[in-house]
Amino acid sequence: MLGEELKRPLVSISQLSELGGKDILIHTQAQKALNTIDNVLLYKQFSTGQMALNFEPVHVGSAITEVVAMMTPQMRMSGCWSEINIQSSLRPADIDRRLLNGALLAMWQAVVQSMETSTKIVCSAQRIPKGIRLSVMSKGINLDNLLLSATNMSSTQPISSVAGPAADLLAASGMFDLVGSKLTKSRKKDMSGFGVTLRTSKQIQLV
Amino acid sequence: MSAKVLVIEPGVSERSTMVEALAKYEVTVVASAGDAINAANDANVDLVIMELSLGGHSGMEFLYEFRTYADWQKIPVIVYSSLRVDDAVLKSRAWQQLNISDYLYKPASSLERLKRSASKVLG
Repeated sequence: MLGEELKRPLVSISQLSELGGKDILIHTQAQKALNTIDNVLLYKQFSTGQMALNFEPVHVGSAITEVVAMMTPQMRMSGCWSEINIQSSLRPADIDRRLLNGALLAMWQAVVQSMETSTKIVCSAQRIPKGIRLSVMSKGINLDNLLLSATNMSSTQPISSVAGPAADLLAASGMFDLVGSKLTKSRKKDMSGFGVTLRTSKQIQLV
Repeated sequence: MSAKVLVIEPGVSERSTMVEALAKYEVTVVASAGDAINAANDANVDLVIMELSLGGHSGMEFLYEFRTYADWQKIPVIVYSSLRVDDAVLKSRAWQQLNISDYLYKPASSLERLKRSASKVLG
C-alpha cells in the first residue's frame, strides 16, 4: 500500500528534475512522500504498541495551526488555500498530542490530494454535546473517489493494487480508531470532507 | 493542426509536467476515469496517455469501457503508469485485446521516452 502510493511523489520528483528549474515543486513532492511515510509509520507504531498513547489536554487550535503551516506548500501547489474556524472558548481535547497532529496531518493530506478544483479547504473545530467536532472540508474534493480508493486499498482483492491516494486517509482513520474516535464523512452546505468527534478533557490546562 | 492528446493522470504535479513535456500537442487533462470518458467524447482525441492507478474507478475499468465503443476502438492508448504490469500480463490475450500501443513504467521511463513514444504512435 505504502510502496505504491510513494511512487507517485517520487516519480513526480524525477519528472520535475528532468524538466529543470522546479526546486520548490521538487521540495513539496519530497515533503508529501515523507509525510505519507511518517503518517503510516506513526499509525503502525501506535497500533503495535511501540509507542504508548499519552492522553493529555490538547488545544485543537494549536494542532490545526501546526498542520496548516506544514500543508501550506502542498496547498499552494494544488492552488488551494485554507480557512480555519475554531469556536472561541473551546475546551482542550483529551488525546495524545502526537497522535492528533499525525492524524490531522494525514487527514489534511488526503483531502489535498483529492482536490479536483482549486478552492479553499475549511478546517473547523466546534463544541458539540459529545465533545469537539473537528472537520476538514472543501467544495473541491472528490469524496466518492477517495472513499472508493480507500475501500480498494484496504481490501484483499487484487483490485487493491490499483487504488488511488488513500494511504493517508487510512492512517488517519486508524489513528483516530485507537483513541475511540471514528473518522466519518462530513458534509456542510456544498462542502464535503471528513470529521471526527474528540473527547473533551475534564482537566484544566495549566500551560 | 496539432494532434489531440487526452492525458488521464490523477497527480497534480505529474499532470503539469506531462502537459509541459507534450506542449507540441493539444493536450486535454483529466484526473479520473469518469471524466476521461466525457473528455474523449467531447475532444475527439487522437491519442490517450493514461495512468492505471486512478482514484475511484481504475484505469483498467476505463480501458475496458473505452474499447467497447466502436469509434474508440482504434484510438491509440499509451499506458504510462507507476503500476508495474507483469510481462505475462503484457503478453496475455486480454491485454492484447485492449490494443495498447505502448506500456511505459513511470519510475523507469523519462518524459523524453514518453514524448518519443507519443511521436512514434502519432506518426
